[in-house]
Amino acid sequence: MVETVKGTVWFKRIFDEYYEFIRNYLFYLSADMELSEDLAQDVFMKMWQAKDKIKDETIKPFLFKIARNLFINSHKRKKLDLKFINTRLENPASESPEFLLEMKEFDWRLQHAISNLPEQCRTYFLLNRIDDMKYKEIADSFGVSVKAVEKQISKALKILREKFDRKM
Amino acid sequence: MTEKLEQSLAGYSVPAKRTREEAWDMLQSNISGGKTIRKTKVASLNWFIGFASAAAVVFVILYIGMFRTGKYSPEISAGIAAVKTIEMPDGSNVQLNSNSNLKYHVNNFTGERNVVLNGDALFDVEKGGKFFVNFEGGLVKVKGTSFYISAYSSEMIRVDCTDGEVEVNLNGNNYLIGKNQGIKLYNGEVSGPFSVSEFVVNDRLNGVFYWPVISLSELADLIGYRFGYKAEIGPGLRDRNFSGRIELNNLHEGLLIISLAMELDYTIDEDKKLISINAN
Repeated sequence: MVETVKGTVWFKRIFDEYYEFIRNYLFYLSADMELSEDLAQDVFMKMWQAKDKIKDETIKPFLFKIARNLFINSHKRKKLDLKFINTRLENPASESPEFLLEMKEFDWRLQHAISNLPEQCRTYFLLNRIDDMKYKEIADSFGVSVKAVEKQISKALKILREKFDRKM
Repeated sequence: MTEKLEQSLAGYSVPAKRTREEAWDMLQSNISGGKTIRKTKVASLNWFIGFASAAAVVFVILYIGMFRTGKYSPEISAGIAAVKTIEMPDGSNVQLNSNSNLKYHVNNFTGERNVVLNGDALFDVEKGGKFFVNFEGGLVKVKGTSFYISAYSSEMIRVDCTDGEVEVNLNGNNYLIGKNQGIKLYNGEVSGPFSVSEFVVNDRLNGVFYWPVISLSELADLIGYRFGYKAEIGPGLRDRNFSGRIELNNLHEGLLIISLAMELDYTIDEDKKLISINAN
């Protein structure tokens, strides 16, 4: 069977390429995984509906833009409390209980500090550090310059460093 | 510090509930099932003006009603060893700890927020009008900040600030405490400010308490309040102190740990709801 230009195979390829980025981006915005997974479904349904109107080169910014709009429309205003899985704490090597307690406290403070970063800082920073997106990829996804991405990520690091240096 | 930060981040992943394949299957089924996406409708201008006028009238009526009556929310309670999260209409967040209750009122005109608390709670206050927490024996006044109040009784009150500044009124006197500071009233005496860490304060919501040093009588009272009992301690034990971390999610376990650590004995009278702690 010959696949039409924008049929299921094309859609599956796009889904595989971007689903996790979109779901994680929604999680960085909402701190709510259930909501993020539901909204990610809506993002791709919208994309499927609009597939004939979207140019291939604008798919990525389209997905991120739709994701943010859906988040804003569904968002119940609340204080963010991001909770990541930390594999270092889940599979500790033979560390002492004191060291583990210190790590746990540091981890708790770090997650809290990340939750309090401004939205743009937080999302760019996490897409870069957790999803391994390059500055250029983030810039393309959000229609901003690489310089702007650099600036936001540096700002995030500066805030986190200041917060931790002060506490140490 | 940067290295430690990066090392921690390298271990992070999001708590996904579905795999990509499961999400794809669901998407396929949503598309073939004709599921509709939530839409935000854009109203026509005439309809909007009509709606806005009606909303304004309703708002004025509601506002006048609320402003005059100053009506509080129904009382909200957290059970024994449970935590209840409350999101107030202004976006402020309260986590009510074991055996505690509160009610609140938000004045939509002045933006003033009033909470009446009995028990333990962690507050995360959104910036805005004045925010008051009233409790037996005191009052806390803030604008936008985070703090923890323990106020089961006018005899035993503690306030810890984890962000910003908090003005505390205890025994008719005002005290200002800053970030990572705490103040307390016990046996009619105000003491502090003490140094506290945010982690230690927030851990109380997990039922975990830490004191560099606390008198046995104060500890017994706290356990009593937390579980809804009255606490008594034997003669000669008032000057004994406890130091360290303890989990207080189960009355028997908590008392057992203290009695073993301090070589004490305890009994619980369920009928009288009375805990008695005595020398071994």
